[in-house]
Amino acid sequence: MQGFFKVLGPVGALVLLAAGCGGGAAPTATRASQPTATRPAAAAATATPAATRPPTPTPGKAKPAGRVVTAQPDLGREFVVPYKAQSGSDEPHHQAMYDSILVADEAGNVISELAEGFTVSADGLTWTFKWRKGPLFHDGTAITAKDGEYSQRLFTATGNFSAGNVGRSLESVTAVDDSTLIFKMKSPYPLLPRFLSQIVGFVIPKAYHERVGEDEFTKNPVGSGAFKLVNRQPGNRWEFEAFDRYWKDGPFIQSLVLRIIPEAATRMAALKAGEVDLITGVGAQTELEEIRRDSKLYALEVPGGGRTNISFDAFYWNPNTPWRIKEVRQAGNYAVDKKAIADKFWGGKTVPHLIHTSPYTWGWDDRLRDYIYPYDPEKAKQLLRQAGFPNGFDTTLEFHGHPTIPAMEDVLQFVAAQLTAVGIRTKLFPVEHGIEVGKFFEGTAEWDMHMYAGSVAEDPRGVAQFFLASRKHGKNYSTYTDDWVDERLAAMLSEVDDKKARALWFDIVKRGLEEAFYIELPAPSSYYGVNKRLADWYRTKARPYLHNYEYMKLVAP
Amino acid sequence: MKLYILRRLAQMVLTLLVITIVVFVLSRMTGDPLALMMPQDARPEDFAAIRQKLGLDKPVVVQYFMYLGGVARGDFGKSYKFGEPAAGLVLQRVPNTAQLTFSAILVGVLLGLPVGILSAVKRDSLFDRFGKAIALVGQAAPTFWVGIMLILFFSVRWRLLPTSGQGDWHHIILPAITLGIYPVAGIARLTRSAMLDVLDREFIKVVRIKGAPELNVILKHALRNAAIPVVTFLGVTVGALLSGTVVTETVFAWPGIGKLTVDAILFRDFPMVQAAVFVSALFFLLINFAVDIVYLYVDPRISYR
Repeated sequence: MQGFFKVLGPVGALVLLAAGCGGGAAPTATRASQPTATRPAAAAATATPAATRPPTPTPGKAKPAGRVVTAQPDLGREFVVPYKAQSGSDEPHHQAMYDSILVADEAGNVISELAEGFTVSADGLTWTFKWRKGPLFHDGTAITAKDGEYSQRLFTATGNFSAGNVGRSLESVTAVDDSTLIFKMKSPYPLLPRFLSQIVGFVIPKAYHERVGEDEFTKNPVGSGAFKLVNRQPGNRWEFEAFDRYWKDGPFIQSLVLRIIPEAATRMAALKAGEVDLITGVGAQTELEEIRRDSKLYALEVPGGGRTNISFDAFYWNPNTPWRIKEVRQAGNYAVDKKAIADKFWGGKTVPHLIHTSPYTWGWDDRLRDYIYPYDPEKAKQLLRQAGFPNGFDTTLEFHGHPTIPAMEDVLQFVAAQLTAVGIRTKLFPVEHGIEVGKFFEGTAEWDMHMYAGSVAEDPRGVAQFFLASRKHGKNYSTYTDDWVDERLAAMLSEVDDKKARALWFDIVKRGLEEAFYIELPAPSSYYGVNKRLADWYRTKARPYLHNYEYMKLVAP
Repeated sequence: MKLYILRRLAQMVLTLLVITIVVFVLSRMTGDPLALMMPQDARPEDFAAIRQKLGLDKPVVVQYFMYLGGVARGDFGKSYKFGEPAAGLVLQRVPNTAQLTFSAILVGVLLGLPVGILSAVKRDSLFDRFGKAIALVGQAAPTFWVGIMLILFFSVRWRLLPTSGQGDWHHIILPAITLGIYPVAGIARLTRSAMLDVLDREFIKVVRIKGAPELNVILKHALRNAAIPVVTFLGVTVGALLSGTVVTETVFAWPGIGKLTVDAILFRDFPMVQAAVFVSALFFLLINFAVDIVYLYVDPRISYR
């Protein structure tokens, strides 16, 4: 191993970002008042959007003012304690009330937060986090590395499976003093900083939690973030007030309300009526147009925020499915006009999304564009003939909507029609989403294909094992077995040299495209509808869920 | 009477017991909750650990009796989605649903009863035709559509009322009207037909011959005799609305029990489903029981043995 760094030195900082922080092009990646890391020149060639500097704290703290109300269809599992959260959709309420060990900057790169920096040993097994001095919990006690250790133990010990990947590689986590937290890993684990910038990195107060226990903590939580939880009606609304001793310059708003409004038309009506300032789950072009027509509103775009692809589920339950033949899968890719989908349903606002990788994720390489299947129905028919299906065949495509993907049902119907046009006679197979997931994992899915739709992952390495490792390794969303991919995945996931990891990932993605693991569709933008009194704020631009509430500012409180 | 009440209470307990079995079995037929709860990268051993923690690794019969034991203590288990006692979460929502239901019934009675009475008194008049049209539209218009239309006009266009959520009394107006339109139609139709029937009776003619004021004839003598089918309808409707307000609650983001139940079913949140259905069933039974008792006072000819 070369180049693993010393504490916060220039070389160490360089490798910090190379190893753990994802790609980017900007020369610096800093946060708040204490910049800690710089970006390696080696990574500058990637296409990941440039890292940007967070707002710089100003001397003296502005008094927060005004109230922001957001409305979303759901908040996922609404636990108050963060260690029982699971996915990105759980985050909005936790984002408001907890700070994490690390955090993502505007471009998605991992930078400092409660830890002001970290180092990794030459063998990639020991990660040392230097704790920031000054941040307080909502009860006024200092946030120390010991709270970090305690929170990590809760995450790994209480069945939080977002922490599963970390936990499986983790040998120990120890706070040697109030300002030093050390992770010892069983094997090199380059994704540790990325995970610590997400749910797994949230910190809760050890002393208070130990004293009162989880149930009382749920009733009277003490957080570490910019807002204190003051009222909670599960499944309905969460209300927060600004924490006046927060360590950053913000928060700039006095109160924050997260409302759950399940019905899209009602969310839109609430936005138009001025009852809420921001809505998520803007799903249709008509809704977008409605927002754009209203002079008091604007549509906030999250470029490439959604990801979609069609996987061949029949692969694992039907040994005789035509989808087992590479040429048939390639035919499926040639049959679908991605540009038409982008233009017709997503207003042309899409980016390529190839084997979980897009220009807004780690691992993107412009050379991958060469492997995108063009729309060529004649080639599709030729490949079907070549595969022994001159008259085509019948197949099914599982069908349901998805809140983060606009017009998903329409897209599915369009895809089915295009496949049918080349001879892959596709019937839609409507299934409620929960049942679809359940049947898939239980191995009782009766459909041949399904469209995977979700929010984009900033770093596809975090989901690679789940989507690409052969199903023989356990329950996952993969539908095929490919030992070649398995070997490279294992190598990549323990490769702390960012350049080498990217090279391995490039090979895997290329293989996935050549073998046509999926019918790849472009990644559409996600949108929020926002009242103009709430200006766009410092946030990870490509993250399709709400965060960084501490930077929200009202133009007219 | 006491014997009747005791017999009805025993029947209610038996009914609730059957309901616990049906709900327990049906909820488990929806599939494995872990398939929805577990993250993308969970391994079989992770599944096993959580299954054990939730008691889902035990035979179904054992799970049922554990659940039943819990119910006897008022403990329905912790919600998989919220991590809190399911019974507490359901009971927090009950007043909201009750508030919405009774507001809707109030709308139904305040509008449906006069329309029904006037339609009967002014039979075949323009008003009668108008009343019948209201009844038809009220029963045919989808709740979802009515709710959205009301929001668009009263909240977005005229800014008179809030679009959704719970707060002061303004917040209940649109949901109550949306949910109350169906009872308005039902009450108006039933009142009209029952009043027409009663107004043709001999005793009404006698009361009129005796010189009673017309208002007295209609409200005191006719309406009281026409009330039985309306009260029955109200009883059934209150029960149905208490457990069936899901569409209205969804459209208006009203934090009631209906939406909670549907979400719990979709999430396979067994403790929450079981608690919500149990509480809904209990209310339904209690209201039907109360309606039977009300009969005694409305119609002295009825007696229970």
